[in-house]
Amino acid sequence: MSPEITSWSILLTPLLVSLIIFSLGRKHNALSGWLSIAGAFVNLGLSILFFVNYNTDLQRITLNFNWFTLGKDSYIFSFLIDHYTLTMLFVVNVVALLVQLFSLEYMHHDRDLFRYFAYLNLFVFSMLGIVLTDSLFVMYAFWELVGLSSYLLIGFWYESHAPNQAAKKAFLMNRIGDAGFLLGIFLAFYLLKTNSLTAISHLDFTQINPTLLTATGLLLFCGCIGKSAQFPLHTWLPDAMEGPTPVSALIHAATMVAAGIFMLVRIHPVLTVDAKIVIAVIGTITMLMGAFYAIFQTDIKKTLAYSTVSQLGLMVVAIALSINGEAAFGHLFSHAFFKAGLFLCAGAIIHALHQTGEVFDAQDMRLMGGLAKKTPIIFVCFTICSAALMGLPFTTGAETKFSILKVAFDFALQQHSQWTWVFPFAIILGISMTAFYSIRQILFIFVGNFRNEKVNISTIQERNIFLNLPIILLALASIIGLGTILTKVFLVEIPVVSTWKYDAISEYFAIGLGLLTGWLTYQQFGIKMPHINTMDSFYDSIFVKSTLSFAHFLHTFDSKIVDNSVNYLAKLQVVFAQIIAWFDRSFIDGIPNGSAAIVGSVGRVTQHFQNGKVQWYFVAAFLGILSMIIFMAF
Amino acid sequence: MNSIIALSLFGIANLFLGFLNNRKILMPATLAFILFALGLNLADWNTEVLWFNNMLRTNNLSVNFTTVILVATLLVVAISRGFGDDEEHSHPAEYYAIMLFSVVGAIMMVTFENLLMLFIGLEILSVSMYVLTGSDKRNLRSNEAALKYFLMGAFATGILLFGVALVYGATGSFSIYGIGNFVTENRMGQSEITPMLYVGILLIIIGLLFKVSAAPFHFWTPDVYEGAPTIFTAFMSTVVKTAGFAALYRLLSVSFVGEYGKWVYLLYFLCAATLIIANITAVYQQSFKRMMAFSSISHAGYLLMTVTSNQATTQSSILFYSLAYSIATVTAFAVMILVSENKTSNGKPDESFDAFKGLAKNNPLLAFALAVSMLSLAGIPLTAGFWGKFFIFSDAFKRGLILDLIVAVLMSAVGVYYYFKPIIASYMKEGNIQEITIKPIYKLTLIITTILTILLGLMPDLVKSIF
Amino acid sequence: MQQIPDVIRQIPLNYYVFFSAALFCIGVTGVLTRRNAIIIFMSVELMLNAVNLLLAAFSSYKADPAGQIFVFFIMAVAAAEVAVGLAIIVMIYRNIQTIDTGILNKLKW
Repeated sequence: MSPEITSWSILLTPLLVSLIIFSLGRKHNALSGWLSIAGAFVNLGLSILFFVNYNTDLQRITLNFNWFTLGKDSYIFSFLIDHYTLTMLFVVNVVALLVQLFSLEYMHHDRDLFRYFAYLNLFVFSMLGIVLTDSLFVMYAFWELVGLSSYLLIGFWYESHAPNQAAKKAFLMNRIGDAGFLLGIFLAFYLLKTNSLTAISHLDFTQINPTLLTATGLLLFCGCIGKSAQFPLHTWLPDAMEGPTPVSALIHAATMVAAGIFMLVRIHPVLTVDAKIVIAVIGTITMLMGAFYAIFQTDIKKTLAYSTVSQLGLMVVAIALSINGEAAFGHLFSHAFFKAGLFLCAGAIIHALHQTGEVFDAQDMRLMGGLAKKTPIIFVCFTICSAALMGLPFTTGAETKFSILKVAFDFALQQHSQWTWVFPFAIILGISMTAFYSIRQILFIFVGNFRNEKVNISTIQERNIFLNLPIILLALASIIGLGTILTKVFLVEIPVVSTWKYDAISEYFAIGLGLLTGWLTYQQFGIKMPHINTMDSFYDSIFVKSTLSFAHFLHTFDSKIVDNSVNYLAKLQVVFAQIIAWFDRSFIDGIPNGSAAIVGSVGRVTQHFQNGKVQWYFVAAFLGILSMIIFMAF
Repeated sequence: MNSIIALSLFGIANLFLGFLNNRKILMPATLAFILFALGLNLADWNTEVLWFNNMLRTNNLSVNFTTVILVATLLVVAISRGFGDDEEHSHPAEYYAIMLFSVVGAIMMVTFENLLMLFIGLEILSVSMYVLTGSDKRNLRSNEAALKYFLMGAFATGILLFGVALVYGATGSFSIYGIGNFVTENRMGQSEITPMLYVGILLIIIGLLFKVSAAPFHFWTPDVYEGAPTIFTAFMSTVVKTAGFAALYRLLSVSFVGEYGKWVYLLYFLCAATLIIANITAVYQQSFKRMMAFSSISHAGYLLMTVTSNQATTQSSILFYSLAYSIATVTAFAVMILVSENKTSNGKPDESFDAFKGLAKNNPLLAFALAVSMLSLAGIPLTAGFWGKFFIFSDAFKRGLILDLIVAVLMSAVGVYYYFKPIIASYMKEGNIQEITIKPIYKLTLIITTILTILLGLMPDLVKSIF
Repeated sequence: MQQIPDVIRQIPLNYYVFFSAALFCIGVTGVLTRRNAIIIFMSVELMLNAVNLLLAAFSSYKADPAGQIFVFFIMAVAAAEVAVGLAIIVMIYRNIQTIDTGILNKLKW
């Protein structure tokens, strides 16, 4: 098949499947899952075929399709097929297929199953669009679609309050990043006169104003901050755990958060040294903060979510420090498999606990323990994936993580500046923390005695092939054997100029230290966990004090914050109203007396001018005219 | 041009049709009239003619604007219903006739060559709209809206006229090209420009800004939109807005372009102010109709941006944006009319977001049409609205209006929040809306507008290349 | 016999401009300060008449009839506006027995 047809069919299959499932409706709930799996299977086959045929020596193919022409500007819809594209196609489709298999059993009781699978396919479609496109504008379009479909999926159980809030939060946080991304695209277009990624990678950047170029890189990075949950917009990702667990697996492994990293790999040539430093710093903060928060979570999925935040930070650092995105991309690749595996394991455990029929918080790790005996397959797979996450030997994670570390050391050695050593050692610290929380998680879930009195442990069992098969495959892909083959086939060698001779030793020492302390604290303190304030509460305390900061804008939508700031504004208005008696009359309804209901209806400053009195409208318009005349006179 | 004459005659014919006992014939007849006028209008394509001693000019630009206006009217008429169902609305013929007359005014506003015609067109449009706004005679909200609209409109007319008088005093001409030549020649230093001209330009711009509801002259808009019967709100927010911007664009680009440096900063700030005020206030609205009013103000802000940028592509951007916006707005109002009439609170139609709760369950078509129109208004890709915004942003970008551009991008992000409220309500909230019976023509209109929105989102060149 | 434009031209043009501006401002002030809908309406008419005066003066000074023709149109359109405006005011009076604009603030926020 020609590359044109292949790429179009890979892109459009999920969309088609999504539309078919939607049009079949609820009556065909049972069919929808199989239809979707068939689609994913076809797509995976096509992707592999595509890879085998076209992955030769990092060759780039750009396929242009004339979309429409306006005057002399023609708008082109183009695909960029290179090593990254082909690998990503494989990853997205494999993970999507396995997640859908898993969902067959996990979601089978849901009465809106068709909606679930339709959204899932829409999600995959948007991600494939990002992967395939050559144009930043088109990427933006798919970027928004990813945001939309993640919103639909996170809020899939829309009857309850929390998923709705989480979906809204994810969407809005992403929009903030997207606004920056769009500005970045405009700026890039203005500076570079093109939005084609192929053209950008061949550009000569020496002629371009470096300050503006840095700004472009950073604005584009804003998109990554939103999508890939980087500091300070990372708070949506843990909340997104409210969605169905297989969706979390998809979001964390192959779609959504991978989009940010993938985009960063794509725009790598645009990033200037200054921009890279900023990006590296943000990545480092994200990595350490994510790992830190992961330590203190009691919810099985939240631990994994924060660990994703941390790993994404690591990838961002890797992109910022390396001369190409290869190291980060490698880790993205291996991370996709073991993180999907971890999430599906968590899903399987939750599912098994739900099957007992008792009502309790099935995600609380403090209510687990000793599950290794009851769920041996999940235990083994979870351990393998965790080992890959930690970077233990004989796993894919070890290899890709180590290459990031090597890149970081290479960077530090090249720069001849003391402080650049911060980055590799921060990574080592992050690795150590990862080992710490991962071993604790395993100990919490699988070792010791079962701590939930409500449930008789003998009722817990694992037996469903649809749950176990994807998990086993993902675990195999993360360990020596299948994992090695995959990495050998899909990843390329990362060139390193200089190496620090103690790099391997320090890494293994860090992992060992993390494992040891993790085990010791478990022995010492058991499941006791100090409560730790995450960024969410940090945000809260900041905003109550100062409504002026930019961050206020981020959380305006949070009802609590809105009310707080409204209170503040309302108080200002009282002062104002006392000064001008005339103004008082129009504000009289709004003098806050502490009652939330009244504050809710008042206090919105702009609304106040809309007080319904036509006289006041005349005055406002007249003042407008006067100020315009004065403005024009000067 | 012929469409003006035809529509005036059709309006009168409509009044006579009202004498017939068969009221069912009125709507199809009006639709046929508009289609006929549309045909006459398109027949003027590629001819450039001056009419009535250089009073009106028909060229491709005016044909395009007239087309957008007529298409919007066509859609609004197609979703009009319920006139004559009760004693209150016992004169459906008059409403259709007044709508046709106001379209005449709107067409004059896009074809004018002389300020006199601008004034008359504006007044025909406005006076008709005052009547339509107050057409719900026993409803105090409608009364209030009509009075507010009337007082603000008359005030704006006074200001516009004073500006016209001053410009006439300074340049000695009412013709837009005459004024334009005078301004350009004097820029070359042939004679001095008096402050009178500047004040005149300013007052004319202000008068028109009132009509297109840009801040700080927007205050009447939410009240009037909320109070007026919904069908006329839809009419107002599409036809009046398009005509107003066409007039503003023609004046600024033909007559006052010589003094670009004088007024550009003014509009630059007003545009940012309009965007900020409209979008922030819209976030807090509880009523869908009122939210749409603020949305209309915010779209005025976007359109103002492209008028300010004054590029060669500006006219086609205004056209595309107006078309995309009109289609989406009419769809949204059409869905709202059905839903709010179906659901009443305290005996009145429920126009809050809550009315849409659970719409998707039994009325998938309505929910989908609503969702598409909201996405288009929010400017989400693959809808017509996205390209409308895209073209406008690229115009502004070429002129380097960076501040406006940043404000606009941020505010369109804010916009997504409130445009998603009805979508969330209809798809993600529980509610008990039974299946709503829809008349075939109504259904057809909804389907056509929805398809158009998506089609223009996929292939904007279909229309944009014509403009 | 003296032509009317000549009579008009006996007074300097600036006087007309200032006088109309003053008249216009009085109208604006009326609109801004009065709450009775009819008086607001009258003030608007005052603004329009200021415009008429100004146009007539300019027209005479420029010896160009276009300005005076514009005046006719303004008068005609103003009459139409009066008809509609008074109808609206009557309609409101019938419903709430008052035409105080301060009371009409049901539509807000």
